[in-house]
Amino acid sequence: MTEGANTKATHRGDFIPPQTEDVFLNNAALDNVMSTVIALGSEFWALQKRMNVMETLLEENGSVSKEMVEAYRPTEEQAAAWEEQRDRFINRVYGFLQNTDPDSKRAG
Amino acid sequence: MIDRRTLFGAAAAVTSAVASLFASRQASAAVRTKSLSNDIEVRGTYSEGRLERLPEMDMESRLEFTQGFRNWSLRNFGRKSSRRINELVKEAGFDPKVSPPIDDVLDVVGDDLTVWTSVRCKTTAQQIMWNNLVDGFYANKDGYLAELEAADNSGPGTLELNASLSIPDYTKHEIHIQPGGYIGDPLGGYVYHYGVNVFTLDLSSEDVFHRDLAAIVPVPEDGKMERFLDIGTGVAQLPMAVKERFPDADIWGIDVGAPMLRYGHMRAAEQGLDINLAQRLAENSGFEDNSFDVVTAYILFHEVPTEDAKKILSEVRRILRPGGVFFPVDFKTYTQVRPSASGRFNQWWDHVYNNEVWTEEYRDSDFIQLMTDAGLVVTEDAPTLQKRFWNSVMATKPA
Ligand SMILES: C[S@@+](CC[C@H](N)C(=O)[O-])C[C@H]1O[C@@H](n2cnc3c(N)ncnc32)[C@H](O)[C@@H]1O
Repeated sequence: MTEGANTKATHRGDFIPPQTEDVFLNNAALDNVMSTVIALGSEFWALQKRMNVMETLLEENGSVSKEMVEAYRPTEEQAAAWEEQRDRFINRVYGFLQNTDPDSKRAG
Repeated sequence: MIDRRTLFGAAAAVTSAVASLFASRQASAAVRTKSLSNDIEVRGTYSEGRLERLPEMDMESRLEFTQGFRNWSLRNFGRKSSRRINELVKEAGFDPKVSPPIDDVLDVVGDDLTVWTSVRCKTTAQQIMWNNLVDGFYANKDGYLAELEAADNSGPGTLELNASLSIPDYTKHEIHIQPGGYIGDPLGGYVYHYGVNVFTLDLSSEDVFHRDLAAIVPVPEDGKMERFLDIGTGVAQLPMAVKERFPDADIWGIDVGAPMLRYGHMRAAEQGLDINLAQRLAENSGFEDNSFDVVTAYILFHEVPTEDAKKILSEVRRILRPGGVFFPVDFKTYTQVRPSASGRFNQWWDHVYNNEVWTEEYRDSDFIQLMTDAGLVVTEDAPTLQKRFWNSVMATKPA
């Protein structure tokens, strides 16, 4: 950090970053790919939610604007249904990661 | 990963157009008494009016995914991984119900793919949580800095910042791998608040946990509760909730981190809560002897080395009045409960990869003994929100 400790203008000070690198799969590149794949899920879900909101607004009003999407508040039923949709998405897409049985081998 | 080492030093910031997107704000609920100048509240608040919705729907959605993925990593994949750890430990001849030393657990786990893939998921969930929060708030960095600046000197409530406070090294770590930690990111209060909500799987939580906790804060036997202090108060959720329970009491919160306090003060002022926040150290609070009826600390001590915890406990004893109550809510120590092998492994993860730098030292300590050594009289069946999880201890200062 270039600024001195606890600079008054910003009320922030120096901090100490973690010392351990998060490599769990014996190959940093593999760990990174995993993280990228997971992070893409959050980007995908943002688009899916946008679609959900736009479909709702189009059904209700026949038109839609960015402002309407941003301001939209899901009903309780929608919130519950979308949460379920999200969890099914996660299970469908990321469930593969659990196929790590140590005895599973290639045929032949 | 976002390069946090340069991020917070960088002067350039994108001023987003989001703030001006909406001509009118959503009507907010009853608790909101007034809006501060410069208040950014683009998408209104959640139903009770206590928590602002995140500034962009995409940011909110990404965090919803993160919460769902974390939930899956813990409850679905995490359970499978825990079963595997316990099986491996058992195969090696240990009793998985009472964990052998962590080195033995790590030895038997070896390169097991279920365990380490699950750890990868849990760790990445934490990383994308912070990345999404930092990315989202920094898109309008100048706006948030201006909002904080405007709130610093607004009331109700007071904010005391101390730019020359000498900050102990042990508080400078990026605990929970939060970028910048509690002191290094000027927007750390925002990031922490929503981050903890995702971490506890309740993104839109309107301080529910802290309100439940405030409801069970014990009062001294003589019933006098006129002055209250929360140490390591973070974004001041507990003192805010305690103020609602005791509207006439003089309520204080102190923390080492200015970013946390500034955000907390802004929220308290927005909600019309007259509380006093000060950037001071728990071990050197500057308050007079015998000046508080109740002192609380919520999840502070597992982030403090034992030597410093001792200093904080003496300070608590000094500033409590005789008969005053100390209510430190935190995890159970190993003297209170012996973890299973999988529990032990998960605590080790928390320490090493979630950067809970001091938590092992805390769990190894005998916190009840430390309180007793500081001259407090300890009660072990204190009120608690979940007896199996929390330490459930309190103490009083003898007459
Ligand atoms: C896990 S956070 C808990 C915050 C808050 N109690 C809550 O309910 O969210 C721990 C807080 O303790 C603060 N802290 C740590 N050591 C401290 C010290 N010696 N004096 C004052 N605050 C401290 C940190 O800055 C951080 O805000």
